[in-house]
Amino acid sequence: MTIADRLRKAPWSVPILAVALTAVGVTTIATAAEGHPVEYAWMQVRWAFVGAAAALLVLAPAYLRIVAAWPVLYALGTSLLVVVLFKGTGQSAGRWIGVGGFRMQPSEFMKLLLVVALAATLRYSREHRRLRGFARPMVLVLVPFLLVVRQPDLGTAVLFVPLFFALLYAAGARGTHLAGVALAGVVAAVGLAFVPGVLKDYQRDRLFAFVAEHTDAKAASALKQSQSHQLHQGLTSIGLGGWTGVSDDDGGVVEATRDVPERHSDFIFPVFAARFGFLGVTGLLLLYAAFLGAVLSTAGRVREPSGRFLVVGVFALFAVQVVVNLGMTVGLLPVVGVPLPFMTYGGSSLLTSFLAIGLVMNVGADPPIELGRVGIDDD
Amino acid sequence: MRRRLFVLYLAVCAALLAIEVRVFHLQVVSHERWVAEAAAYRSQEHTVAGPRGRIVDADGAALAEDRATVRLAFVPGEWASRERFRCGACGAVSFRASPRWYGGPADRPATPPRRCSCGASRDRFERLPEEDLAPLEDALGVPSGTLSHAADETMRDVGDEIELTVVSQVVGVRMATLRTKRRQLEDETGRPWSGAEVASRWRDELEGREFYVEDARQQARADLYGRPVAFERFEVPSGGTLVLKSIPAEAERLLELDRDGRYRGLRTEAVVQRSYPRRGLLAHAVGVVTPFRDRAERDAYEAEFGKGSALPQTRVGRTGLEGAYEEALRGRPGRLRSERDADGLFTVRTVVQAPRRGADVVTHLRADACEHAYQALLSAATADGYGGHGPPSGAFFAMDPDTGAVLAMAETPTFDPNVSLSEVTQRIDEDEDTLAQGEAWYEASKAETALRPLQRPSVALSRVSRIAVEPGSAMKIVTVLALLESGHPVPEEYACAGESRAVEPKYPKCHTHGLVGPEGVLAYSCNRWCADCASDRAWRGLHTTLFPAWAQRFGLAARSGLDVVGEGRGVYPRAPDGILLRQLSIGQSMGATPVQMARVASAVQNGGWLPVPHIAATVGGRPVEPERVPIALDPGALARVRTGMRGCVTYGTAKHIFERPELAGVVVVGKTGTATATGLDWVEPTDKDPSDGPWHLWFVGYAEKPGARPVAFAVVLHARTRGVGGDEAAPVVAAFLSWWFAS
Ligand SMILES: [Zn+2]
Repeated sequence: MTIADRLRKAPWSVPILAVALTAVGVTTIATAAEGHPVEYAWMQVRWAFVGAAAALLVLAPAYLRIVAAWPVLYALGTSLLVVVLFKGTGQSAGRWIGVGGFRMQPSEFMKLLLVVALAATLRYSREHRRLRGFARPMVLVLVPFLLVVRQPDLGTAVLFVPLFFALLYAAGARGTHLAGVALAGVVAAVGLAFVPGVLKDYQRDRLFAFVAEHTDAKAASALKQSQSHQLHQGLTSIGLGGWTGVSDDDGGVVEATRDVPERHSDFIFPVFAARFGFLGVTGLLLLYAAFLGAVLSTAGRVREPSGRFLVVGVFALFAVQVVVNLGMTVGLLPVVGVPLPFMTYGGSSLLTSFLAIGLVMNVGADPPIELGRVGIDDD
Repeated sequence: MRRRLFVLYLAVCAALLAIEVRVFHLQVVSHERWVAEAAAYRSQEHTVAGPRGRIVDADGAALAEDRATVRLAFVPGEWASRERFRCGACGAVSFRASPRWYGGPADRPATPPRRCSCGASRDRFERLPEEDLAPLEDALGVPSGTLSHAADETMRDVGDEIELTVVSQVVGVRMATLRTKRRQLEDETGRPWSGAEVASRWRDELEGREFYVEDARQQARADLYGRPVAFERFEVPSGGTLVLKSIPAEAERLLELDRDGRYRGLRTEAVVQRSYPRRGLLAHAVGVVTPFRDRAERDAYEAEFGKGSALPQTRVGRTGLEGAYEEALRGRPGRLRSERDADGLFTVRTVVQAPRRGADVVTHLRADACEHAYQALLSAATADGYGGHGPPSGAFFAMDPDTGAVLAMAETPTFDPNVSLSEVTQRIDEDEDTLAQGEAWYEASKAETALRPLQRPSVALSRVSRIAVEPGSAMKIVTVLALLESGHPVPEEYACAGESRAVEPKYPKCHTHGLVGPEGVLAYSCNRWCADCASDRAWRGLHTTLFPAWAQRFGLAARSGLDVVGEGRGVYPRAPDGILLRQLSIGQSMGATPVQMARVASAVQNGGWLPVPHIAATVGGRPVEPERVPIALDPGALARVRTGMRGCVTYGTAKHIFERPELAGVVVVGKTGTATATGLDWVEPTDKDPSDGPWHLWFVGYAEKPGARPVAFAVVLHARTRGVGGDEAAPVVAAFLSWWFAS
């Protein structure tokens, strides 16, 4: 099968919806970046083209060969994380490494590589039906998780966890087992959060700011000054949107959102919400729902297990990012640095998203014939 | 498997639905609340002080007023926006930020506005060259290049501050820690460190959070660039500093009329200062204003005058009339609203509530009368013949004996409240402490004999109303009245032994004079008559209560109610024994202020009451009602005292002094006083007999002229090494009265 064949047979609804979301993202970034000396919107457009090219690259080989190469890919991603960790000196190593003139964020790519690795290990295994079988996928997740937490990039690290659960669930793991592991994980995480040195001060402050905003009405106003300033400004921007968005009579969107920190990146949603209002937000959520639906329906059509897990993994990756990002900007979840797929400004994030789209298209275009072995129960 | 996928999808959709519901709540249900929050964030209200009311004399001449001076202020945000573009279509000038001050490359020019308000597009704009500041510098009288140099220096300082703010916000390091770190680095390396350099120590923390950093920087810029900096003292390019307390009218005009924005970044700023045009004259009576000394004082002020009445820049009346009429004089603060402009700077200002000026206080006294009194006082209180510490000292006080209206007052030494105010107020605080200790000591010691005089009384304390000294023979007015009204007989033909006598007690000394009754005592000022009557064995028991009662009746050892903050009470022993009665009868071992002695004279003049002296005639347009403390005096006794005091002027200790052509038709009634200055600190301690001086010289009394307002007065010259009250103090009154009844 050639790229042309794959392009012809690929489920086009997925990339079309992704491009639509990217276009919405670029216009919103243009609004958010108004007045900034850097032309973020154009840079995002350029990244989108780079992403599209990368997606074509992923379409070139059969996805089974990519899955087969998972140990190499996993090792590559993990070692990049290690490089990032030890590259710098000082209090933290940062999360970027320079590649030529670019800087890239290995943790972004690691998300996708982890999906590949998990899909590969789960495909013919039935071990995960037993609790003991959790060990292997868990080790696969824990290694990059701890590396990313150390960067520190709590937001990306947090994404690995639901990815793990979603894939095991899709693979047929027992609900009680999953719940038990989740409970143990939560207890361990809360415990670790209080061990000095595990979380940076600002991370801990953000978590506590979120808790305070939700439990103590008095604290809400006091915290405006401190760490939840960002959240508060975000909520203000969203609230200003009303039904149809901020009109120019009210000073315009730029005016309404200028005080939201990180409004180009993690807090892009408040800018969108301010500009397009509740009706716009409803449209955007439907768009995301349609996109996620399109991805998942691809998984439904695929019988081959590793392809299926790949697509479910990609679905989980996108879904979790969308829910966590929106959840934090509307104040339902704590503020962790999770990008909103296709909307948030950022080369690595957009590139990863398009690579993931490429994978979904590849799987969707090339459903290999199932060779007799029963893969997964259809229960 | 499909079912599990469907469950996953449903879970995600449920989460999205929850978000949708939450957004509905934010955008639709609580929309108004967020609109209000955003408005609150975009605008700030702050309080501005209202001007203080004026204190003016009876002729309308200002004694204290708020005077606006204009100084130069610098707004970094405007300086950063100095690049100007003119619209080719409508000619309007627009300002754009120079990337140089916003972290951009130094050589990159600003981009023109996207669209002019007239509708013309970007390409119609023409970049205007940066105009030079030379005309303004000429008008200010500063060397060329000074302003841009000072502006650049300030921009660098603000830039440093911005970088440090960014680190503190993003990384969570406290500002104080950053500043300490900076000092530490400078100490270690021996060179100055910029804010950006210090910030770079946290580079790794900042990296990867570019957006956050950029936003934090914008926020810090908006706040710090919008805040005007006073350009009062700044560096000049050639080195050294320049001080511009206020700017010339020429420069002010240039800045006000600057339509083209040539001087963008530089603006005028009105500063209000309390000004005292008469300087030292009446400095004590008018008083001074000072800032709050501490938080507690501010809180107390707000508790008294209402929340928001005390601003950091508020000056509060501390002494004199300024203190007494604080409630009326104080300006009522107004409120201004500042809004962020398109650049996020707080430049748009609207008045929410205009500040209100405080009420005026108009005095009874006239500055020119005080000026004459002051000159008369100076000619008597000369350095030659002064035996105390510091500069020669004396005081004059004149009031209407009927209403208590203060007609004139003067004292020396004095101070200029326009300068060295902090020094003066510090002395006031110190001396008030000393006096308070002295009074406490007096209260506690039940005391009998001693005066606790002030250690080297400072210039800040009023000699008219605060510092009390022995009135000496002037006290005999009270002594004679008390004895005449006591009900027991007094010697009508008393043979005084003159300057010396053989029998004990030898003291007090007396003058050489013939037989005296009560009138003669006042005219010739016979000490022994008073002392012997006071300590007479037959009546001593009565006198130990009678004398303090009469002192109290005449308002001695109590504040008169003069409308100033910081009036003194004077001292009078409460339970004198026989020896002390002899001293008190001739005005020793006690202390009184000129205000108190003028009140005594007033009561003798009006015969029925002690007037409460008021300097203020009207406050905020409302008259200050006269207050009278009734003091019933026996007409017979009063007539004898008046006769004696008149005799003092016509044939007694003050004869000839008032024989002036200007005083024709004026009846002066008075009593001299030459009090031994016992204060151990007021005068140098010596081995001499204390009765050898120095002396406080007094003249106390009143003057009447048919058809004219009567005047009660008291004058004191402190610590003179020679002369007596009649020769030295009375001429001061004569000089004043000559002018007073002529004008
Ligand atoms: Zn005598």
